[in-house]
This record gives sequence, C-alpha cells and structure tokens, in this order.
Amino acid sequence: MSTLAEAINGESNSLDTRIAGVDRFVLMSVAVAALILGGLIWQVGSMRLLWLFLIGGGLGIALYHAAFGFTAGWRNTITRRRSRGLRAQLLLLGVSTLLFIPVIVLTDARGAIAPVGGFVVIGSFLFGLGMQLGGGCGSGTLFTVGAGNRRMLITLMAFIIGSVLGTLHLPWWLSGPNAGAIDLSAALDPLGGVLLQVTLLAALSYTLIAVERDRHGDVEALFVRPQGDWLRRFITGGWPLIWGVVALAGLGLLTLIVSGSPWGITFAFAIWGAKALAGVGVDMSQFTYWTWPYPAQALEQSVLLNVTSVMAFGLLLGSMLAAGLAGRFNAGSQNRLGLGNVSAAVIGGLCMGYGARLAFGCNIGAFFSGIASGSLHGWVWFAFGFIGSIVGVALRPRFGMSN
Amino acid sequence: MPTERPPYSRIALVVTLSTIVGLVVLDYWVSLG
Repeated sequence: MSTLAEAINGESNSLDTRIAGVDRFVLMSVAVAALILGGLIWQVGSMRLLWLFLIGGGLGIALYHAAFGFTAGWRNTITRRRSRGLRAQLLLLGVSTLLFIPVIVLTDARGAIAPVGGFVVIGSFLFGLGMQLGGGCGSGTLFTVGAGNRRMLITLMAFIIGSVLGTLHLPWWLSGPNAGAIDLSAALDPLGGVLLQVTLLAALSYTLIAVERDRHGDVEALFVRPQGDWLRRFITGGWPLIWGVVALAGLGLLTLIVSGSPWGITFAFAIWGAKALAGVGVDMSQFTYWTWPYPAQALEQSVLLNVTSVMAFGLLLGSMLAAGLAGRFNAGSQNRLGLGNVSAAVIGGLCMGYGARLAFGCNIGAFFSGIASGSLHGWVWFAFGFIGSIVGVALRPRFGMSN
Repeated sequence: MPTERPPYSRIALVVTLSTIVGLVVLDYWVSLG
C-alpha cells in the first residue's frame, strides 16, 4: 500500500529506512494531551468511556504502524491489479464476522444494522469517489491528520462540513422507498449468516488472487515474515499488514463489547460540525435530523460523553504517538500544497462527509462494522463505494494527483 | 540506514493540541448550560 505510505510519510514506504529515532517532543505532547483528555473523560464520563478512548488510541497506533489504508488498497486493485491491501481488508472482515456475530447474538450488543435504499447506493458511491480525491477514508483521514499531514487536515475540515450538510438532507433521502434494515444473521440464522459472509469473502479473495496472477504472473503475499527485531518493529512501526488485521479485529471486538455497538467514526464529525454551527448562533433544532432523539442528545451533551467522539480523539492521539515513535511526525506534509490537490482534498472531504451520512456510515461504520455485523447495507456500501472509487481514481489525474 | 526526521513546527503542534483540548473544555462548559 505504497500510496498510503506516501500520505503518511511523503515518500515510498521503505520500512527499513523509517526508523529515524523516537521523537520525544511529539511523545511528550501526546502524553500531556492524553492525560488531560483522559482525565476529563474519566471525570465527566465514566471508566467505560476512558477504556474506549484508550481503544481508539490503540486503533490509531495499529492503523499508522501497519499503514492500513482502505483507500490505497482499493486504488492499487483498480489501477495495478495488486490486491494485497484489499485482501487484507477482506480477511479483516472475515475474522470480524466470526467474532462479531456470536457476540451480537449472545449478548446485549447491537450490530451496525441499517436500512438499504437509494440513499446507501448514492452515499457510498460519493464516499468511494471522495476517498480517492481526499486521499483517505474515514479512518485514513483521521489517522493521517494525527500523524501531522496538513493536506489531510483540509480533507478533514471539508469532511466535517459535508457531514453536517448530509444531516440536513438525510430526512429527505429517507422519505423515499427503501427495503428496510436487513440483518443476514437474523434472516438466515446466525450460522447461515456467518457461512454466507465468509464464503463470499473467500470467493472475492480468490477472484482477486486469480486476477493478480493473471496480470502479473505472481501474487503479493499477505503473510510476510518481518525482518529484524520484532519488538522494535512493534514499537516503532512498519508492521506487516497481517499484524494490522489482528490488531484491528481485536480492538474492533473490544469496542463492540465495551460500548455495546461497533466502531464508528463519521457521526463524530457531524456532531463537531453541528456544535460549531450552534456555537455561532445557528439554531440546529430547525433541522429535522437534529430533533431526532440520539442526534439531539449528542448535540446537547458534552463530546466527552459521546462514544464516537471519544474514540476519534483517542485515534488522533494514538496515530500521533505512533508517528512520534517512528520519528515520522509531519512526514506527509513535505510535499507542496497546490491548487489541484487542495481542491481535490476539499471536494473529496465534502463527498465523503455527505456520502457517509446518506450511507449510514463510512468505510468503518458501514463497510467494516456493517459487514461484520451481517448487515446487507454493508455489502451494498462495498459494491457502490468501489464503483465510486473507480470514478475517483479516474478523476485524480485531473487534479494533478498520481495513481 | 536511518533517515532524517521531517521538520515541523513545535509551536504549531502545541497550539493545535491546545486548541483541541480547549474546544473540548469549552464544549463541556457550554453543555453544563
């Protein structure tokens, strides 16, 4: 996933040259911010929210150290027929399906089950297009911002604006026809749902391997034995993708168990944007979405009580910590910001924000958590998000971005 | 072979983190009504 590594490091991901020495100033800054935020979360919220803040931190470290990017994995499949990144995502979905569905069936935890309709089709298409122009998905945007990438800060700002716009229009989109929420593990029984999903994911992986072998005559291995000191690599980064899969699946499961619902990201962006508007005097209660019980409560309460916000703060600080451990903080900001890539960041961010609201989540809330929960909307998101990404990849050169 | 650490502004890092923490505290204060 070299292109994601470029977003983080501003250069090719040559793992053996990444270790430039731990950046103590970054680590100290993260420690102070984490202590203050963690203390506030514990004081205002609860121990449970503090755990979720720490889990978010772990996710940020795993995403950064494994350079686990959904966007670049899809782009490499589309442009070069190199599918190692996408196959890692499919493996993550398969493992998470095996972990999530039993927990959802046997406990009070709720899955990320959402309705299927035209809004998911259009929203996921916009998101897929936007993530190629923006240079990162929901998780990718957040963790590259944490790692100090200033272009991704522009994407994040536009993402937040797009999220708020999406909330204003979502009630209209939902007023159209839809098929309702379809939970595969309920429709088929849990075992049938798990078997169907794992079979589909395996078939997709097999197809990707066949296409890659047909194009290149070989297949990039997903399971690679790392060279050198494993402990040093674990701490300072350059993880094999498979370590990322294990960490994300484990922390995703912990999120489900501790919070009672799967990991999500983009609802936090909508809250932050709506709070900013409310802060400058906009009456958000004039908008239907912000009168619905959950959004209204989230808008009124402190962000310290909101699970997605608390986890997003943790993720930001976790990726910053990881970048400091790798000695690569701000590495993604070394390239010049031009009109083309700034425009792409703005358009991509707006499309992702708007699309994520319509599609009931981003690559995490809908694609990862939705599919791992057995929700059909996650699969629809995958299909149309991928089509959107094909269009986004085709548009990148128009903004001076390489593929 | 180790690479050089990329340059960045320490002041910008501290200001950014302080702004995030400050906004969270302000939001908490506003939520108290």
